[in-house]
Amino acid sequence: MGIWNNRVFKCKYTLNSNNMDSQKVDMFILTNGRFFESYHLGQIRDRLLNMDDSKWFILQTVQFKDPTISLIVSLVGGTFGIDRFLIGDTGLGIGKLLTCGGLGIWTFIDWFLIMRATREKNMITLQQLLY
Amino acid sequence: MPLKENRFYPFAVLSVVTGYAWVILNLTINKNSDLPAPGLCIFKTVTGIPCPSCGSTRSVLSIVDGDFGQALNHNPIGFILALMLVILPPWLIFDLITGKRSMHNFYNRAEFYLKKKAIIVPLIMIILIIWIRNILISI
Repeated sequence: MGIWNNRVFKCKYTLNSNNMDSQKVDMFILTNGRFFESYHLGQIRDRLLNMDDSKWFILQTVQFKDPTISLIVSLVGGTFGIDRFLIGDTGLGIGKLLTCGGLGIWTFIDWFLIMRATREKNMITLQQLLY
Repeated sequence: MPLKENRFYPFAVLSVVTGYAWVILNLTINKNSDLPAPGLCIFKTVTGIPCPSCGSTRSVLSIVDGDFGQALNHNPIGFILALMLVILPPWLIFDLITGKRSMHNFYNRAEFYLKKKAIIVPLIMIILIIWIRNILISI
């Protein structure tokens, strides 16, 4: 019985030591929550809890793009597509640049879309690390 | 990062339709009245300084008239846009009929190359030169 208990204990111990601490995950959510869509946060939390603890350091070093910054860039340089370049949509950026911000219409629409687009790009960046 | 396929095609169709609508609108205005051509450039309206692609509508209209020299004088970007307006509709229809995703694949590959410094830096330089010229001749 004692040996059996010991085995169970060992098994539990190894499982806990590999997975990420919930405190760490909550800290990550608190500091980086504004970079993601709210409906993604639950999914991120679940995923991080099951993630290997050795990835914590890499996770800390990932740079996310600030949606507010991209909104400011969009307001100032939206006509030149700089906002799209900033979040990594080079193709769309070139398209915006060559068409004078999509005849001005696209520039206007992007003032409302760019924050969400930035958050989705951040999610893709995180997903590349998680999966 | 690639644009998702389900967003790419509606966006491409919308761009082409808007492009054609804009050209046709300008053609009818130019032919039917003495009204000045409408300008949509936010940057020019706000600052009074032309943007890199200012004059490309006039350039496309010159290409429609067959005056390529004048088109080059207005804005070389007009040639790229005119080429897009000619190539994209048949390409979109081809993809729609065959169910292939060739245009989306091409866009992703183009974006991959555009991220290389050896390509994007000269491209930006060319656009800067066009911009400086636009400002100097106050197009």
